[in-house]
Amino acid sequence: MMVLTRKRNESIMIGDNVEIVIVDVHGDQVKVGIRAPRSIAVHRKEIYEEIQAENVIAAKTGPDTLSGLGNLLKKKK
Amino acid sequence: MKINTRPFGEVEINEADIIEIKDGIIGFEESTRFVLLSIPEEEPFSWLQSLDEPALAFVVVNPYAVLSMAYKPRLGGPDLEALGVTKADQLILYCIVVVPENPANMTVNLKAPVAFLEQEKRGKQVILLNEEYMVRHRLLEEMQKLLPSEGGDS
Repeated sequence: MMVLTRKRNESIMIGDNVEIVIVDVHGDQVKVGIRAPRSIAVHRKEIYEEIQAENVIAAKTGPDTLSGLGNLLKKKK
Repeated sequence: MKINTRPFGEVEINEADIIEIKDGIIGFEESTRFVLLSIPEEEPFSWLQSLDEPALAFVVVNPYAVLSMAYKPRLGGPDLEALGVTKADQLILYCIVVVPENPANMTVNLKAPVAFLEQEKRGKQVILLNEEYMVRHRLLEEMQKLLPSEGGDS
């Protein structure tokens, strides 16, 4: 992995059209700005991992039938 | 055509109903063809059944059916582009539900719904920009929060 040291308001280019800007630094928190074409998806790594883990749980835990589940919702309305 | 499904065993489906999810469901990238299985007794829930892996099926719910217009998904440019649309309202959305042993504790993933085009049946599990949506919302509480009871019995 390449490691670069940057100061506030300095940036890093990845290829020709992705720019990572260090917007602010506060203690152990870094605010990062990302300038990228619309076609490039930018997400926190954690959210992707969370979705993956949740999908695995969803695939494993489904009941045999959903009959009656709808009634639970009606009671709350 | 006949397919094997997790909830109902062998069922007959219409080929036109097959949803092509090119990138798969996140974590299950090898399954790319799905079909929605709905029966009246299970409404408003459905199954998103894989055609490639009969044992793989997700419980899903149309978020608008349970949360009404309180659900306001904001899709990012890459997701819209991948689906070939300009606005979220051109898409059919289903959220994946986790139903534990006590179904009252079921949770719904509002952050990453499965979106597809009704006609073309091309789909993707998208990641919404909405910071307020998480992968795990308790569905019953969420309904109460978003749809305040009008009071009185139904």
